[in-house]
Amino acid sequence: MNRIVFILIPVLVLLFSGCAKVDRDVDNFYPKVRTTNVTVLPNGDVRVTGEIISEGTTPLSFAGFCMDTLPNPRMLSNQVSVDSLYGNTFTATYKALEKSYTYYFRAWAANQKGYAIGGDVSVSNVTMDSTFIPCTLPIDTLTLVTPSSAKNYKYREISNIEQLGFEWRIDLYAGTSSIEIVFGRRPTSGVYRIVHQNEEPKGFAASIMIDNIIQDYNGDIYVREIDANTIEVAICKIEWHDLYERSLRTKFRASYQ
Amino acid sequence: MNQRLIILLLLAVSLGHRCSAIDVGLKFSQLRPRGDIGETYDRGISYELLLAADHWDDKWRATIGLGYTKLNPLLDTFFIYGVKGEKTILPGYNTYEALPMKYLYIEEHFRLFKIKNFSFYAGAGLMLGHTTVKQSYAIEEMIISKDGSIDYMIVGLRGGLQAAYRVAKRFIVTADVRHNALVDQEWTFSFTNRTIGLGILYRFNTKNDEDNE
Repeated sequence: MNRIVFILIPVLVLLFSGCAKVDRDVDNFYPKVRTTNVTVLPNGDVRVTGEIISEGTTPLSFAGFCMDTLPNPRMLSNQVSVDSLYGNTFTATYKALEKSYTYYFRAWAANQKGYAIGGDVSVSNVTMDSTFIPCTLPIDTLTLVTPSSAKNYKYREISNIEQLGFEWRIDLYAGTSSIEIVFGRRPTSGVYRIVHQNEEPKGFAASIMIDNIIQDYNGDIYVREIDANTIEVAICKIEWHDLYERSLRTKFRASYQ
Repeated sequence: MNQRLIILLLLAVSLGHRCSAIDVGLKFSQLRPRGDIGETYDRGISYELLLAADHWDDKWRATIGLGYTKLNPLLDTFFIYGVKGEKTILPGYNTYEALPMKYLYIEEHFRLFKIKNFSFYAGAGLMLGHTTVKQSYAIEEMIISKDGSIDYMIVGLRGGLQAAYRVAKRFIVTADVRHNALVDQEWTFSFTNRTIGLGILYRFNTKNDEDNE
């Protein structure tokens, strides 16, 4: 009897232990991912696309890209994660890249076991399409819009582009209004996101101040290089709120000193 | 449970068995890791030296044995990662050294049937052993390269089926499949494995044998 118990108990324990399937498919532990292509968009942004060839043996947890100006960028270099897949592909958009560099991108993906990274794809000469400004405006004109009116002004003075330390500044005067635009880099062709005056504009970012009043101005500034010394600046719409909802639009040309 | 106590228990159970013949044997098995080690270590060969209180003509047989195996990792490098914030992936790696396992076991076999020189057994037993997991790992920005070595006392149960064939008066060859359910002493990590093995037993002269002769 004792012997039967001696055998029976282990057999029962064994029947209920270690029955889960063990994943030993090492070739498929990790996702397989490919960097498919990289495209410069008309606004100068760069869209990179990756493809999940296989998820691996466990569900996909993360996917994204990394980018650098050197080949085979490391995973943490300018890493972005994507929120969703479109079928087996995923995309991300890199903004504020400079024309003078070659950029290398790699797609990566991670499942519960680990991660894998694809080969690199490069892009050079990143610049905004010269025709890409999403509005048509008269040159050297400022339009100020309030809830009750929209007034047009001709600029009476447009300063040269002046470099002050790591900032490039333009001052404009029209009617009784003054506008100060500060770029965080030498303004070349591209789209510059407007940041708050308290925030240092870096890369493709700029701050703006109207009538010397600090506000939350929302919008983009489009810059197109006319020649080595002149740029054309277009603002399709900048909005801010004081007592009223206000906005402005303008297009002008400015030159370096 | 105290390690010495378990060893004494195993020996007592084994030596307490009524035996009329003692077999000394060697067994070579292919060990297939399962459990927590299943996705880290590759299959390997296990070697066992055993003593069997053999009742060739009886339904019961007790065995005590010592085993050793060394399992190589499935991959040179496992590409692990950490997560910073919500979705910043920090790449890392984990490399393992070969996993040595030493174990002692006792088993009781019950003969299911016997046809001339061929016997077929079902068996179950207890195991006790030791292993050391050595690894080196790092995750960027999170863990600077670390070498780790953890000793585990492993305990568990084993069970399986065995076919035995008496090829000569003193030699028996065996083939068996076995499942070894093993955990560390804290029951947090599983070293469970399965084996498919071939063995040979040499039967020493005993009074019964001499009588039979």
